[in-house]
Amino acid sequence: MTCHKVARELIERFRFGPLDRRSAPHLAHLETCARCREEVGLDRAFVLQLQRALRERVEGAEPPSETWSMVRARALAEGTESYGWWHRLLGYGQALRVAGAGALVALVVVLSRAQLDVPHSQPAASTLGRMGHVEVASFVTPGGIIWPVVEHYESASAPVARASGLTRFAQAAALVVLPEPEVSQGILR
Amino acid sequence: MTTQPDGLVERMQSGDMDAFEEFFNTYKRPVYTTALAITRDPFLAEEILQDCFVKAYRVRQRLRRDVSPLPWLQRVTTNLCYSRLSRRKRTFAEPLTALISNLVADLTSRPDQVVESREIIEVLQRGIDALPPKQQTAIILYYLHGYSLAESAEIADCNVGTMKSRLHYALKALRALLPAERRAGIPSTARLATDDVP
Repeated sequence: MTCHKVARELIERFRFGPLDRRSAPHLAHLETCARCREEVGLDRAFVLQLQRALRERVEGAEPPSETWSMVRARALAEGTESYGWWHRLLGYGQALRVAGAGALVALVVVLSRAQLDVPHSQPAASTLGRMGHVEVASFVTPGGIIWPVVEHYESASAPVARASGLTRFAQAAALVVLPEPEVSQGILR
Repeated sequence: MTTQPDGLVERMQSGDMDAFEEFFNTYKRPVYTTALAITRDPFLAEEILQDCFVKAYRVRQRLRRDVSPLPWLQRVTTNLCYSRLSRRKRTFAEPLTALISNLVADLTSRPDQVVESREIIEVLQRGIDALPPKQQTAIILYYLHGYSLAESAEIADCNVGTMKSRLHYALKALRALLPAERRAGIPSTARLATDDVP
């Protein structure tokens, strides 16, 4: 057992405890080794100084007696934490879960919007209906996403397509509920 | 750690202002002490005390009835302290080196009075102020309030190992502020004083 190790272990034990039977050999060494005694004593003295410095910061300090009346007035004025209707309805934890699910759906919508341009370069896989200059068609992209598109034709050969909000929602929903492209093609075509 | 008086939080949650007053009187001292130890400003400490209890009242429905609210109150207090202090942009204009030079200079004249030295305490006070907030909180909880490692860790929202490590680095930083001559002088009058030191 080296002096350095003894001093280090004892300092640790004195600081954070406990001093128990396992410390006996170290303490025995301390009795015979002036250097270790010095080292451990230094640390003890330093900690005492630190405690003294800390106590001086708060010595005799009491919160002013009028603090309670201030706290009371402010507490009554500010009232209770205001919960939204969803908090009251669902409870705090449930509301967090619902918010998380909402965030997930929003993420899916954002990610799926990134592929909106893909179908415009492809012919419609199937035409669901046509009324005047408007054609409603659905695509199945290679990723298996059902892609219902409402296209408005200025002329028969030049589609100016804009997916509606409803269409985008359908796309996001399809991404979630129809993961297998082969099956979805089979069902829809 | 102080346990919660029976049904106090429950009564407070039902809107009983007397219960809230009892709650305030039970916990005001440790909260104020922490705020004062960190800020060293009685006015700011009182503001923080008020803010802490107003917040406790506002969120009282969320307070747990089965455990002492003190760790939560202490955590709120330390957070309030550091957010206020960071707004104030704490500055330690006077360099420590000058103070330390004085310490070294007068060491030879009265080496036996080192432990009682006013200047050592001053160096430590400034050193405590200059510690990172987490280390400062650690030494205040452990060495001033006398919370156990586990209790301090709970308040600081970390594990016991992390708390130990924060204490270790805080003590190391503070010891490094004292010149070697001073450090060597300490045990001459305070050798292995193991009485009530945690």
